[in-house]
Amino acid sequence: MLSQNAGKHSANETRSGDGDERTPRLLVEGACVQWEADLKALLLGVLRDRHLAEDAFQKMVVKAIESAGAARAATLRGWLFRIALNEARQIQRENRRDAVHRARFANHVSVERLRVEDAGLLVDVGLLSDELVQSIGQSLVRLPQMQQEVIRRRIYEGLTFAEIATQMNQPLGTVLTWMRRGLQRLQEDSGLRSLLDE
Amino acid sequence: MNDFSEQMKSIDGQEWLALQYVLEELSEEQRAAFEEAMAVEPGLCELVVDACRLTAGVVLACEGARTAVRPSVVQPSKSMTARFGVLAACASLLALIVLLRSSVPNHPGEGTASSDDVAAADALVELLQDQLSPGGEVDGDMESVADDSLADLMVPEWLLTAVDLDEPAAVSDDEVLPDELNLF
Repeated sequence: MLSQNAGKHSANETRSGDGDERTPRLLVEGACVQWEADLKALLLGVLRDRHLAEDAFQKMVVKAIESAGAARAATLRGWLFRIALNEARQIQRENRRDAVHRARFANHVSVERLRVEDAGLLVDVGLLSDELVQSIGQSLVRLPQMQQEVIRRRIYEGLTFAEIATQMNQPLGTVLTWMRRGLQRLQEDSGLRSLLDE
Repeated sequence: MNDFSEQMKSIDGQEWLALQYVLEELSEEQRAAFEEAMAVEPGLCELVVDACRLTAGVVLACEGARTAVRPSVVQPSKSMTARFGVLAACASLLALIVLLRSSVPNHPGEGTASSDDVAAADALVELLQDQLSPGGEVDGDMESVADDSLADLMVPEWLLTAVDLDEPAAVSDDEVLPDELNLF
């Protein structure tokens, strides 16, 4: 898509002059500001570290501005997501080569939980309000006890499903089912849905 | 991987995969395939954003519930340090106030001066007057009080030196001044 649009756009730019050349850049800059929260959430979901996510966001903005000529208003959001994802994957590749981070990124056997400080990034960018966090807590408590326990142990305590199954004395498949159903119920919770859609 | 492909065909399946992706539950192969799909379908990126938001919300909600039950456990090192700092500051301030009150005599205008303080002030005034006119007599009792008051006065060396330099007439004729003091 980018290569298809690049040729048309460059032709328009040369015909329009300096004033129109600034427009795509302003468009991209404005979009980066407008969607900063969602872009950082995507980066946090990929990298699971707020510092890396913020670093990737900065690089994404630079890359996006440099490539602003290829941007289209109608597909701008998806285009920025793609650039963000590419930057995140690049950082992952670099970190996998770094011996210091090898244990964290390369070893998928050991499960790490999303730390409170990393989750705090979404509060800082305004994607998680106190009201929404409280609502999630209330929805969690309304879940059946077993689903609630599995979600808490997996997401908050960072236990593997195998460890949870052992602790709860349940088959692994059962634990996975509880997890999936519990998260689906959280997503479908009407009170939560209205806040998430805001 | 067949299960992965099947789940990719439905919205529910994609939502579940997005959650697994954020929770790092996918294998290397599945993770790479999902990221390739994200690069082509922005909708999957939106699902990852939602999944990240939900899991982060769960983390913060659980953290909030834990700290609500045991507030004293939350960040003990930080709260202890802060408490120690506040206590130290209060103790220092209190000591300073006590020191000031014990060292600085009350002014007459405050109306709370004790009779001893008034007597000491009067003695000091008389002493100063005597210093100015050496022939003046000082009452014995007042002299002892004045001496005590004088003993409490800590006159810095530099002031004494300055006074000596300003009053060359006070120096006796028998004293030999060092050369560097012969300024004139």
